[in-house]
Amino acid sequence: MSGLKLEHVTVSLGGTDILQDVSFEVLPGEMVGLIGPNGAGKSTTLRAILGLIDADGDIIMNDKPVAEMKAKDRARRLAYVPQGAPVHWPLTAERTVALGRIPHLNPWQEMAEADYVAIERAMRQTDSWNFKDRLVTTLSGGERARVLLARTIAVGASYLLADEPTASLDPEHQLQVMDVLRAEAGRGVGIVVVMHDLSLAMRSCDKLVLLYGGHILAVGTPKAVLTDAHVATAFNVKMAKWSDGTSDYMVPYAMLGD
Amino acid sequence: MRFLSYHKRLNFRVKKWGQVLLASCLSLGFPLLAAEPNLTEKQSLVSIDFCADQYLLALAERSRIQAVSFEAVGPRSFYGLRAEGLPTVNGSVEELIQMQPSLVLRTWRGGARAVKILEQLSIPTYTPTFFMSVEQGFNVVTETAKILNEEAAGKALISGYKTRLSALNAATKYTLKAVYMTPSGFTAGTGTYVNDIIHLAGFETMADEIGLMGWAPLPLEKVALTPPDFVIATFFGDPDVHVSHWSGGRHGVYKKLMGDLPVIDVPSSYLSCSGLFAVDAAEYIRAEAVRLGLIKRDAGD
Amino acid sequence: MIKILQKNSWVLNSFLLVGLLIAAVLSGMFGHVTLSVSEFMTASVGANSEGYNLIVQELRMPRILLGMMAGATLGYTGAALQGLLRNPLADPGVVGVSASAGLGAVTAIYLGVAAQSAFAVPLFAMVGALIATLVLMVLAARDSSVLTLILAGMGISSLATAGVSLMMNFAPNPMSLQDMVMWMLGSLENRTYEDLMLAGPLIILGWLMMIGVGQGLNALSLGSDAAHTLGIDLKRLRWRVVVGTAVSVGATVSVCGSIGFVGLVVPHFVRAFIGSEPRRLLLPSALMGGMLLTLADILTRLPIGHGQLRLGVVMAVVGAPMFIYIIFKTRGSMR
Repeated sequence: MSGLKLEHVTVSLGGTDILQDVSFEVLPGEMVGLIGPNGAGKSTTLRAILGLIDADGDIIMNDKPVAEMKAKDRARRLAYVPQGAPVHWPLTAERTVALGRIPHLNPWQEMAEADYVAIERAMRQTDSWNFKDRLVTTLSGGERARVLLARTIAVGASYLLADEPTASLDPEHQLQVMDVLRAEAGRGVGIVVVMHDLSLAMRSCDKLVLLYGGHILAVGTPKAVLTDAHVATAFNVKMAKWSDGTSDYMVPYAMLGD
Repeated sequence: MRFLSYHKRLNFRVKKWGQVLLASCLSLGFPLLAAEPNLTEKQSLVSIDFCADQYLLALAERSRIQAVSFEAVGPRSFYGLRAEGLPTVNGSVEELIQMQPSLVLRTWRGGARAVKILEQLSIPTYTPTFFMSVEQGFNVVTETAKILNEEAAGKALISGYKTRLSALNAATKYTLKAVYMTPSGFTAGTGTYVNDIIHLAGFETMADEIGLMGWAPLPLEKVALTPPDFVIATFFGDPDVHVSHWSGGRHGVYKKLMGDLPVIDVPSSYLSCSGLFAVDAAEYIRAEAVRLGLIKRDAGD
Repeated sequence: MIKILQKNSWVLNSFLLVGLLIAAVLSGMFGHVTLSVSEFMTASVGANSEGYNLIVQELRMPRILLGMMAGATLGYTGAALQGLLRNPLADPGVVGVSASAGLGAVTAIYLGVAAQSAFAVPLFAMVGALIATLVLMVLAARDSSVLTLILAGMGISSLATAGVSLMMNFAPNPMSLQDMVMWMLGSLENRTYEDLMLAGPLIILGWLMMIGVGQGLNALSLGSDAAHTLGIDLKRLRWRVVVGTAVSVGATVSVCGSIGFVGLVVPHFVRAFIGSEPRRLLLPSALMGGMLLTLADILTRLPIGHGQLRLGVVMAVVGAPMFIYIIFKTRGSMR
């Protein structure tokens, strides 16, 4: 079964290696959490996959190197929710989501039935259909995050990459976003999410990739990756762990060295 | 500093000779290029800008003038009185198409574009040549008179001017220094027609003494060191409503330096059109100098 | 009525097209003589009196066509640049080509060649515009960021403006100084088919370069990273918008002088009707720009000022208050 594979990916900028020899795989329908301390190279990894920065090594999707794909082909298969996603013009929520259909349209084409269907589905999925005619600039943080997520879902890509989609959202909306991503995974979309919240990562992700200093420290199930040793090395904190039977939780409570 | 003034002088000289060359080429080529008018039969002449108006009003018989420009009337126009009662135009090509004159006289309006269009539409135009001395100016007037088929009028005008010119040249020259000034502190330096007019009137100029070339700002320090004897200024209004444009609050600095220097206000019409009325202007300045007591009346004045 | 116009951009476009045609006809009617609609129509095909035919065919028609093309160029490039820069205050001048064209024109006047040939000024202006365009092309091809391009444009603009000031300072006589100033104020007076043939092909070339940039500009609403991931070739987009603007605006300014405000104000007006989506603004801005400039040109023929009113001045006098009004009305809804 082919997926999205990173093999020995290295990124250097100005002489320093930001990412070194990173290899992991994302299968269709799998939700992979990319975690690690600030500056570990999480966003860089996403940007390398998307071709936003130059990288050595191979990034392969369904047995085809991403670098050799045509821009619109790649765009149809790989969708991206950037961090702190801006919307520069006061567009309506619906028209913002409609931008996600661009990979399917040549510059002259008007949208067709299929596009409208994809937009509506994405907006209903993210519970943003009811304010589709409101201007994005008038929406609350949570509403905006849902609209931008809908925009990415509307692409209908095989893989969805999200860079801290829950940042600055309240707990309800954080859970909502993760649930939407999980639902997409359930439909066969491969998901890579960069996250800071370890509990949320544990709860939602099938697999975690722990990055530290540009290297992969650990890859595997949340339980396997988030051991005390790994957490101490990577985050330099002590975590409190507990379980309520269904889910596991982790919360940092002290810095190491206290 | 020195390099700049050298450069400016060089630049000015180059430009001056360039213009002489250009003028001579144009005087050969240009009037011929604009369609040859046959004016012995047709009777309608139109001038479309201020200086062209002056030529037309000076030379042409009134009945032959179809129209002058709207700028011809009023106290700023030397022949303003002659223009009264004549039809006026804005000078647009559309008007000229409607009017179908035998000849259009112009100096600047419309630019090379208008000349081209009018040529294409078989409306002859004539642009009097650019001149740089009084004698050259006389030649241009004579040329223009010929084109307008008013040779007699041209001859009369020029012979009158020539007599007056000789009188001015023969009159007493004084070493009194004049300075020409505009309200913004500019003066007419060596090589400008205003400077030539002041010489013609029989006086020296501050600009020559300092070595200023062309239209240049007046350096106040030089004025302080070697003050002039009197000031020449232009006024633009009605002779009855005389506003001295260079005196007043914001020229206090000049006022301080100049103190109570006598001022000769020359009507702008006399100083217009690159010195077309140089003789009139020089005579005016001289007469005013007498009136103000700067000089004594000459035998021939 | 506004609601109808807002629904669909092609309702707005049709409306503007009709407006443009009406403006064109009005422009054909007014001048030294006022013609009726039918007189204008018959004269334009040479079926009226000789004088009227001449006036309409040789003077008014090229003026109308050039005015529409110039206005459309300014409107379109204004909208495109605002989209590319994601800044509602951008206008075609930002690219530096208008100022360099101005430098070329002023040089022609300074050297005295302007008086000799009707095409000295436009040709010199085009050379000025070309130099600026080449600089921009090189930068755009080097994958420079938008910021670099704009800074380059501003640098070119400053340099060109300095050059113009220098030449005005050392103007050989007050007459050439006046010529320089007058040129800078913009005009469509006495423009002929030759002017149209000089500038027309380049204007159209610029337009062709910018066809289809709408989608890319839309994608840019989400930021350059997101746009890239939506499959947009950003380097090519920048090249097309910047160089396309340089070519078409350079040609326009070379023949008509500097005309401001159209590129700045028109997209704002259009936004008031159909919102801020960059792609939807392009065609309406072109149509409205053409319409606005044509109407302004009619105003220059008003009896006041003996026909001395310059086009750039009318645009500024009418455009600036419009702009201030728009700012007040939309204050706050722009981010």
